[in-house]
Amino acid sequence: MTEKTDRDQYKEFVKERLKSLLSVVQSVSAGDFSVRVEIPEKEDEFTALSVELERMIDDLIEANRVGEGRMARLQAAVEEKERLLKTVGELSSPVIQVWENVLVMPLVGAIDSARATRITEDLLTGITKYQAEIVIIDITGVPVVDTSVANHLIQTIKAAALLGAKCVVVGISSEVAQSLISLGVDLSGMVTRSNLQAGVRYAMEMMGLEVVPQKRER
Amino acid sequence: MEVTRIPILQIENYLVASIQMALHDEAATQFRDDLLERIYATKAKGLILDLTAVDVVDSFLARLTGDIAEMAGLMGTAVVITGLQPEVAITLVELGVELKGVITALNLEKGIAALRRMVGKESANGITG
Repeated sequence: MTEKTDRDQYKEFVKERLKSLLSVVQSVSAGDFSVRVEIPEKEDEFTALSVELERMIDDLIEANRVGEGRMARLQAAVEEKERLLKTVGELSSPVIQVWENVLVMPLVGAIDSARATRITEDLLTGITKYQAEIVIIDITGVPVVDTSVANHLIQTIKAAALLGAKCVVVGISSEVAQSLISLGVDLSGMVTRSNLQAGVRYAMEMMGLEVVPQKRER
Repeated sequence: MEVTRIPILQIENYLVASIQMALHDEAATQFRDDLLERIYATKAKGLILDLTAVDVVDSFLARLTGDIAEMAGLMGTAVVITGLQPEVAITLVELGVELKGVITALNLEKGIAALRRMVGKESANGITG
């Protein structure tokens, strides 16, 4: 009889211990690391388990802390990158007035679709702002011109023509010329000149102006 | 129902029409008819279509603009479109409307200058009277 009661008591005890351990594990798996495992003063079969669990929770807390630190650094890096991209975006499509009604847009660096859209917008806005009749697009600094870049360029030129401005593309390098022709891009109707100087000269001609040397008295 | 009509003004030998509102299809067709009648009646040498106030263009209006230019061209009238907004220009290009044979200018002043150049050139060459 007594033996049975002892067994019952033991069963109760095990149930009790498991319950408390379970609640700890549940809290931890829900992400709450504030719970502590109570280690009973009297050693029993559960002491080792409790100690191990305690250590595991400590490890988790440490890992979580490290992870949060990394997250914060990553966040800062992403913000930094966004700031830089914004700056690059602002620098990417400058529109400069070089003469009355003549604009120059020097393009530097690779052009992707997003940048191409921005270039188109900035150029058209520039045309209405400065009331430009001629726009010189300098692509000396563009390393690669593929079909999509060429198409964007053609679209921009067409849109500019709708506003009433004529575009001249200057600075086409030998590689770009080769790739454009081998890609079979249709460039009919696109005015091109060798370099910026030739472009400015073309603009002057179109506006009926010419640059002549000053007459000096000897 | 009364269809909104767009006023067509005459300066010297040129007609000027400025679209100031969003044109729905009916009004646009009415505008085209009015315009061609006026060209016929006045024998205008040139037509300026001012789109400064238009900020949305659908494919119908885009095609109509091209049509008007071509029809007026057949009647011996040079057409200049002025004041296209950048967004409208982008839309037109994206829609694939090129407005071939239409001359564009930034504003009314430049539009008139362009018309004078064209008409002057033609009369100098003796193409039109």
